[in-house]
Amino acid sequence: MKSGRLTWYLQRYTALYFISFLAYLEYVFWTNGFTFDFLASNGLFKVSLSIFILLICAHAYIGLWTVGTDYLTKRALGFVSLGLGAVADFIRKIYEVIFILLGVSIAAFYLLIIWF
Amino acid sequence: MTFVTFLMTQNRPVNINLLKIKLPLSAFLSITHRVSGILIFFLVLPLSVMVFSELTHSQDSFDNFMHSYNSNLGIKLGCIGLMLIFQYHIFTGIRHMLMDFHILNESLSSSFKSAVVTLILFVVNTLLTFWVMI
Repeated sequence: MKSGRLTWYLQRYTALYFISFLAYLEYVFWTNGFTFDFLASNGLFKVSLSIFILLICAHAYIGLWTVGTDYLTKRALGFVSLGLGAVADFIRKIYEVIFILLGVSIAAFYLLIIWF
Repeated sequence: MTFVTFLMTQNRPVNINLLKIKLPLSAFLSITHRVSGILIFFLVLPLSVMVFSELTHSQDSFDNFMHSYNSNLGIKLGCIGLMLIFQYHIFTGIRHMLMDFHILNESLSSSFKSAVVTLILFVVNTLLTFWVMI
């Protein structure tokens, strides 16, 4: 499978997981209430939340990359100012490094909080 | 000659200027879906790390957070606001997926109708969220 096709499907299948996970949370909170015990020690919740966070990072990577390659380009930034357009590739690279670092940090923090 | 320098030599109006396009409703939903996605990643998720850490650190820190939530209207409205950004992304995202998988027709008129329905459902959802969370 070509990588563009793969990421297109990955972004949508991860979204289906998010909807299922949120439906599961709705069900739990409506039936058992919002409790410390559930958040801190329910095994199914901890595993499914870990997967949720990792998939969010993958989903966000695809989405933010798409947004970057749509708007942080010579053409799009060139409409704002020609100087900005000239350094568009550099700006987009910086933006990509920032969201990758933030994504890795978010995933790392969540996994540490969930499991340690 | 790059595209940008090409534009400099032209004095005619440029219709594809992203800042000058008048947005139809479906395009408004599309762009706000992107904006909400960016807000989720750069704002909602980092803040949710802090909240989740408080909620799961100990029973005491859980009770503390719930107490601040119930006694401080700012914290309460802040949390509801963050949740609504997330929910908006989900509502508009479901509409996009229904079109991607051809369950909804992609014609101009039906995409306008589905945009209206999505917005109405989101308003109802917003009222329900306030009703449950306040």
